[in-house]
Amino acid sequence: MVEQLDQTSELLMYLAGELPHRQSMALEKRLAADSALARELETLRELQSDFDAQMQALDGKRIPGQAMAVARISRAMRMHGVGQEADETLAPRRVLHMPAWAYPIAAAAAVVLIYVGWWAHQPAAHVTSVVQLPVSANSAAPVKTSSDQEQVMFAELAESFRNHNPTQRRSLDSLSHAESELATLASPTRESLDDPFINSPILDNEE
Amino acid sequence: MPVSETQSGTPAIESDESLMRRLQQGDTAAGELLVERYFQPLMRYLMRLAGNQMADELLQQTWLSVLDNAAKFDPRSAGGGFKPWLFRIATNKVNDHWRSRGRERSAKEGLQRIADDEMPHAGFRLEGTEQQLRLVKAIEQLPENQKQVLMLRYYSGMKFVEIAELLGCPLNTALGRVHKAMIRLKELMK
Repeated sequence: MVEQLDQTSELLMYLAGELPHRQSMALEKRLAADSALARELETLRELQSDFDAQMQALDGKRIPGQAMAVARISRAMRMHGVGQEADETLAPRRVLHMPAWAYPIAAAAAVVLIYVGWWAHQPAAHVTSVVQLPVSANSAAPVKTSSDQEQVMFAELAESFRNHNPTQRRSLDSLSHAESELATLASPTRESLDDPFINSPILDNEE
Repeated sequence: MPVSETQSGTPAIESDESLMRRLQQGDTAAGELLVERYFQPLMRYLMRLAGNQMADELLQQTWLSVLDNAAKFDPRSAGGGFKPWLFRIATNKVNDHWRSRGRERSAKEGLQRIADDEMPHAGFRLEGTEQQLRLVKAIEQLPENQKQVLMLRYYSGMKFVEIAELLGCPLNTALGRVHKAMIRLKELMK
């Protein structure tokens, strides 16, 4: 059962022989009773046969160059098929997450990262110990730490902190600041030690 | 092999569906036989809808698409076998072409008009008599949707129900387009 058709559509379907049997029978009864409907059917039949005749005349000659065209399309199909097969052959390789050459590079990168991590943590202990050195201006320690040996040690530490990570650079800055402060404090202390008035027994007694 | 022997010894033409099964198994020779078998009706269908120059390209695209979708072809669900399935693919290619042409039409319209005036259409050399030339010209003048349903019906032999389904329109609409197209052609041919 086809959908509800208008009259012309029903007639076209009838002419094409595509109307279901029950609907065809019903239409034939109506055609027998309705001459206008029968005339319309004849008009459509004529229209259809004219069209078919014209098209048959138009397509009477075969399209030239069929053999060449078929050969060209067949070649394209073969090439297309070969291309698809190649893609399918390559497909399993795409399952790998990384290309083979990436594995040794990844291993080397991991070793480098471990070394950098270890190296980055090594100087951190020295920084802590240096920062914890007594550098207060009020303590008597600056007099003792301002020796030449300690100056050399500071210089060495400063050198070791050069080209280090930012955290350690900040520590270096604070260390440099402490060093300069220490030097400022150390100078008058030395002067005072050299000064005969300061070394006087009166001063000692006062202490 | 295009033909096989029946029990009585008379040669039987291998069916489209059988050739498609072979094509599905990678036998491109079966594909070549199908191309040859459907060259004339399919080429004419594409010529009427897209013009002679474009038909060649669309024909190749259609067959490559057949190859791509060969695994999906199922004669039980293809609505009447290989031929409607083939014309369905060709129709989709024509629709794609029309869509892309619509975008370029405004740019090329002027150029095309000049070219049409200067040289006869390639198809006119093939379709010789004056009456045939008039028919070709009349078909070209039909609206695309009317021309499509009329040519699809004529060249593919699909049922109206299948055509309506393929074009995604009600059966009444498809039949109405056929009717209008035939009336218009008659008027143009007077």
